[in-house]
Amino acid sequence: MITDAAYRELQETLGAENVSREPAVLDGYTWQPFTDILGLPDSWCRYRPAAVVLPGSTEEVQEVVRICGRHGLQFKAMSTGWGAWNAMGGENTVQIDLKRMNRILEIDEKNMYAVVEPCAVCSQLQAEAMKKGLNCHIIGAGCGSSPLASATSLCGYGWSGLTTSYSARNVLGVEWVLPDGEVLRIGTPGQDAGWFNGDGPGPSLRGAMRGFMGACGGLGVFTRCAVKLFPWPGPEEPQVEGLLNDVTAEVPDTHAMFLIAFPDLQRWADAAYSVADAEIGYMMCKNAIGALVATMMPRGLKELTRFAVFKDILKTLRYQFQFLVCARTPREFAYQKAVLREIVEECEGICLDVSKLPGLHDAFWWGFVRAAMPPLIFRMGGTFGTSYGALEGFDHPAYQSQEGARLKSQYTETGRLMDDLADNSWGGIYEGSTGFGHQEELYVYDPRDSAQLEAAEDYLAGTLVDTAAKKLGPGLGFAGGAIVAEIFGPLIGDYHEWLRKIKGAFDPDNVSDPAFYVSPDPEKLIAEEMANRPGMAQSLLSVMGEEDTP
Amino acid sequence: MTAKSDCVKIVGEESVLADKKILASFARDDGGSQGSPPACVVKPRSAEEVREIVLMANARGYALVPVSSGEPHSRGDTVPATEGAVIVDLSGMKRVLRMDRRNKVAMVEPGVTFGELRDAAAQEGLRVLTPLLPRPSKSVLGSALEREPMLIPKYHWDMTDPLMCVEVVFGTGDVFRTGSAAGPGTLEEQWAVGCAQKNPMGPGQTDFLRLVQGSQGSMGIVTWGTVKLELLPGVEKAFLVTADEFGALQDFAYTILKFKLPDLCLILNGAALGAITEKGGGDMPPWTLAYSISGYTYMPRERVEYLEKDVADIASAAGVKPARTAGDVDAGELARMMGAPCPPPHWKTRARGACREVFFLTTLDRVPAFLAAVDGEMSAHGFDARDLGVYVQPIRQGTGCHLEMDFFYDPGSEEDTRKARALHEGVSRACIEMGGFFSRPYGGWADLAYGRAPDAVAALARIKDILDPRGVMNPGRLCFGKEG
Repeated sequence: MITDAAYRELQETLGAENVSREPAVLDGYTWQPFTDILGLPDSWCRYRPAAVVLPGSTEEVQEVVRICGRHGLQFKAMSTGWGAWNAMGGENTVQIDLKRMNRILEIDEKNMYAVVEPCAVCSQLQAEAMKKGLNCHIIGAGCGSSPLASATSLCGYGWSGLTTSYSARNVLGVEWVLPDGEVLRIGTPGQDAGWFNGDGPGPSLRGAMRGFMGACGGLGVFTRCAVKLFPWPGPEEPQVEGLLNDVTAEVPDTHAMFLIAFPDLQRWADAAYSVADAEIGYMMCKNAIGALVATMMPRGLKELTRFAVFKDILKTLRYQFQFLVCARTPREFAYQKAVLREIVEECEGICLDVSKLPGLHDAFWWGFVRAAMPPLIFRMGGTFGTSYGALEGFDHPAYQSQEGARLKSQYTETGRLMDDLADNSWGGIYEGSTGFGHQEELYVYDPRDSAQLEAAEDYLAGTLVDTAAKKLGPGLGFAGGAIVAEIFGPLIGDYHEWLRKIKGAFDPDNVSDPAFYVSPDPEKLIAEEMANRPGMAQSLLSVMGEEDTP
Repeated sequence: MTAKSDCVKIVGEESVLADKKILASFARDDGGSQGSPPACVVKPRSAEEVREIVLMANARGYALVPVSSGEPHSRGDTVPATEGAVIVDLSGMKRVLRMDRRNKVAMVEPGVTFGELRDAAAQEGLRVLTPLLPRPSKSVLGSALEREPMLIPKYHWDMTDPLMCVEVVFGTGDVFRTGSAAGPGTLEEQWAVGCAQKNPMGPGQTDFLRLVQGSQGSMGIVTWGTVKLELLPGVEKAFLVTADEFGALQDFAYTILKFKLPDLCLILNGAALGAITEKGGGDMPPWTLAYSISGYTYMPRERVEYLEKDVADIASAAGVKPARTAGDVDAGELARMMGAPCPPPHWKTRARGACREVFFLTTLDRVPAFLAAVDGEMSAHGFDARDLGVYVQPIRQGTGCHLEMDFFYDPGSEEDTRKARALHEGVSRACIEMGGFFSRPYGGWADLAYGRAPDAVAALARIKDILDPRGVMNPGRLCFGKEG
């Protein structure tokens, strides 16, 4: 509940048209996808916002934050908002919807960065960047997502990471409204020296802002951010007609997509390392064969998986990548293709040149460049979840992909989860020669089927237990809410205690919703979690019982 | 009890130095910084000893000044700002703990120098990402922790590069591993499942590495780190592009950087190039962009061939001419030289015996404006422009650059020394006023940089209070006071 006095202050600050506590409006924010990670099967989050506000400027965000502080309310910021990470962590929380702050403030063509507001979206930024021969990183959530959100507040794997890295590593200057309402400008903007740098002077406050994962709204509100841009050796205005799979496009002569499959996990991983060593490619990503078929013809996959022989045929393509070459010149194009052929031969793979299949090539090319395909993943089951996904030298993600498929097969083979051939890992290698990468194991299910919902939660719990037992990187498990810090913290150098100190230092009154960051009251959090998620409770206890890291 | 006897209890008599001459040598450095002589110098051999030293400092209230590189020091961060400090000399921790060819990563202790790691890496066909001509005693981790710019911008994705994970003893005495090294599992258990301590972020929602990096030893002491390595080229070809004006090189530089075509890529003025090559500054071209192109394990010759042609096309469009030599300077020889530590005397002191340096971050397009301002300052201070070495290092794949002005002077001349000091101060002030970003604020730069960023000072104080609440780590540095 929000008091009339607090509500009035919000209205006076933002204008009545930008504040609401209408139940129907609030419910619009209470429904989110991917609530299975909270143990909420039907997409309805546990708490409705006390009010929703739409500030239009940094100053208005500051005022909202201060009003919340004065009236004992918490706040939770969201931009493009997709998933449980936008959900309120408790009662009396104001949702700060940043959709009015949607401008690209600057694109510095020479120095290859853009300054954006929270609700400028990737498709908007990419379109403008391409006009200047540049491209932006787009995360797996797709081109409708906010580059600021993934850069400052969440995670950030994307198809083109080979060229465009990971969101957290692309951050330059940042404008940050702290939980007390003060503005902190990180890096060069803090000294009115432009936006080109986010680290220093001295220790980098980017380190307090976020880590591998962002604080998901638990440490204030980010109102502006500069992100690195990357070369785009393609058309300034791509000529594309249609949507999703039904796309025709003018693909440049120096661009080509390949589907490459290898006989086993070892040679598949070897190929990834070789590509990094060779410094070729614009994108290298595995979209599992089950996922590809599911996105193109979901009913077809359901039919095919009824027959063991078809499943076996599809599984021969299990260890594969989609590989995109976007060369600047014909010389470079010829070189990259020749090296790719050599690597494929060396790793005993087969390579399908998709550019020889015009219809498919158009859809693949644009689908991956624009990151336009994410909606298709919902076609098969209605929703999906994800697991594992640590960023490390590629042998580790390869191992995780095996673990994910092994665990999940117990569910897909018995019909408890949708049969996506069990192996449905997504991800690739990033930062060119650096060659670290990730594989996250997707699982697809029908949220209307209570047995599948139960299985989804059971599988996810199993992955956490497996992660602890086998000493794997938690990866996307870090996005599982504040409870994850309590589970894994003791196994990871007690990092959660340091997080708690940072939270205490920057938000002593706990005004910024900590549900996906770290709880100031861990005992209460654990008790609530055990009560709210009995299905997961036993698994969590099992993980927490693991021995501490020496 | 004294600091010395406390340290002896931890590391033994032979690893504690208290000779007056040695202590006096730490009270000043070659950059003109003056401080207090330390109480002693302690040389730990392990992380456990480091931890005990930090705990001892907390209990007794001693200040600790971590030092990993050998002499000469010049930036003030190794000179105690308070009396009775203990120098924690890590230069004896020299083990290369792991060399991983497949993941192109090395795990090293803080005393490992560039020369030592270079030799170890080369045996695996790998190369170290180095700053410009580090002195032979320069620590790899010390350099990376200070965010020194590296010569190959295409491998510099983010400001933490090439550092990946570290083990750090915070000022509290707690030992912590950053990034993916944090766990779960021991290092051996992580290696067994394919990890290489290669993810620098986290763990979780904080980038602990970023809080330690750039801190001049004021947050904790790093006891090992993993650094990213790259392949040694199978074929390498180096070029020089010369110009009378810096601006004439800009378009070319921006384009080749954008598409990550060169390996080595930096710009030097004539005095700097002359000092490095020892070919005589007077005959050097005013500006030289040095770059190399390489082929690695796959079709290396073909890679160099296509790159050479593609870069030539870009050069032609930009109105510049790459060449293999410029006067007496051979591009290949220069490239080979830059891959190694600088033989003494250091290139910055070759011309006149000493050097005052001013460096900060900016963007390539703003460099001419800074150079013009420096010209004005030099005229005002009566400083001979021929004694100005300029080094421009593109960073982070060309999205910024390190601009360094090196003022060469004769330390034997009082007038020269006075002029250089005054010029250093004047140029520093002028450049920060113009938007030069002193991301590594040594000595007096700290007041200039933090004076313009009060919000950052307040935020950093909160971090300092968490990681080093008693203020034992290098007090008086950056924006942190001398008192704990």
